[in-house]
Amino acid sequence: MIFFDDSVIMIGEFAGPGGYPQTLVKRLRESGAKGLTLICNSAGGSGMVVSFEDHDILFKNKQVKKIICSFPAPINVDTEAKRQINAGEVELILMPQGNMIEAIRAGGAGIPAFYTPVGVGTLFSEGKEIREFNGKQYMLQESLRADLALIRAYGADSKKNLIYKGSSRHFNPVMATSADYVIAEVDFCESFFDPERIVTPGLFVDEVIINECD
Amino acid sequence: MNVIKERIARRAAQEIVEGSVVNFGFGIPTLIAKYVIIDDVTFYGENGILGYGPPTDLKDPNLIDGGTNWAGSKLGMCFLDSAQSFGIVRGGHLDISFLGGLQVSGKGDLANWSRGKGNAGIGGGCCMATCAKKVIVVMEHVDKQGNSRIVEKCTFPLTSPKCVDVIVTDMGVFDVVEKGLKIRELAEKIRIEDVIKKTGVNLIGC
Repeated sequence: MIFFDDSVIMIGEFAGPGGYPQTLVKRLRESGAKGLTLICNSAGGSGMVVSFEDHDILFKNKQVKKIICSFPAPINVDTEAKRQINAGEVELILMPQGNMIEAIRAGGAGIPAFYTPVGVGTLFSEGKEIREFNGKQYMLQESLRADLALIRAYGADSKKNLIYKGSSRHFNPVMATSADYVIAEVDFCESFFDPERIVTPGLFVDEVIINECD
Repeated sequence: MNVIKERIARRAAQEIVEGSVVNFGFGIPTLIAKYVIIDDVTFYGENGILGYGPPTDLKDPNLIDGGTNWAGSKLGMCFLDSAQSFGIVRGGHLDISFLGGLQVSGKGDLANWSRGKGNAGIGGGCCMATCAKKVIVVMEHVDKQGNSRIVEKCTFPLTSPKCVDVIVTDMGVFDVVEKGLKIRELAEKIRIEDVIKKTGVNLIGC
């Protein structure tokens, strides 16, 4: 597992440790890779239901140059990410969550851009092409891809097929399709799963590691 | 427990009709689920949890709703990824979205996020506000300084223009109609004069 300076990295996350690749993020921290662009739902500090150590450790270690997210930080929680964003040390690209995940999906499906109604008439449509379809306005949103995706799944089989657990699926299977290299952190490995249960086919996954944090 | 917020949430819950697919945003909306008494309703969380039950103390990290509460398990519940989940919203399958508000204009423009230093960002609110079939904003009628949250023109950045259908506050229930804002119901012990005084736009018929 090698992390590179100046790479674009997706991290699967939604509001808690469920579905979060905590071990991989710690390894990224240990690697010291700098100048990173993160694509992640939040900029860290999002342990709103349970407090846990997330990618704010990457900001504390001054590894991040830019963050693309929908939640820079929860209200009334002080994070290093928030401080660096407010101080102008880290560039923030804020996206409505639905546009962000669709941009990731499109990126993984060979679609360079798409029209979305979300954000029209707000700050999010500034500088974007607006086009009317059937009498309604849409804005052009470019898709997102990454060099590396760090995702969390429940289990992997010997073909790197992944299954997920509960509401912890969220961004993970989508990010798995949209990065050049994908590392999945899982709770366990098994020989084979029932094919009907598989959510992420192993062809999207390059490497699997076992979670060491939960 | 904030009595005023709970009262707003309890009243807002009554807006849910049988058979609807419903979403609860951040803030006061997260308090609504526990007041829903009808059974034939599908709770939707944008993180890809559909058909879950009211919040519990179970504390399963793999059972969290879109408002980041512990979600309850319910028969018929299912899980999706975030892309399919937001497809539900944009595709017009979400009947009601309850959203918090900083400001709502008389035309139904919603502002519920800010770029200030303590802010939480936009999240999924923009998608719900733009694409849910019905948008119900639940908020306190005035802000901490006593200014009306119902205004001629929002000063906070817009979440979505002309998207709000109903506003539920501690003073009453208001419908956004073509000509402006209409009072549907006054909250207990609230007089119409007080509402007029604390509302930043003209109310139809007042």
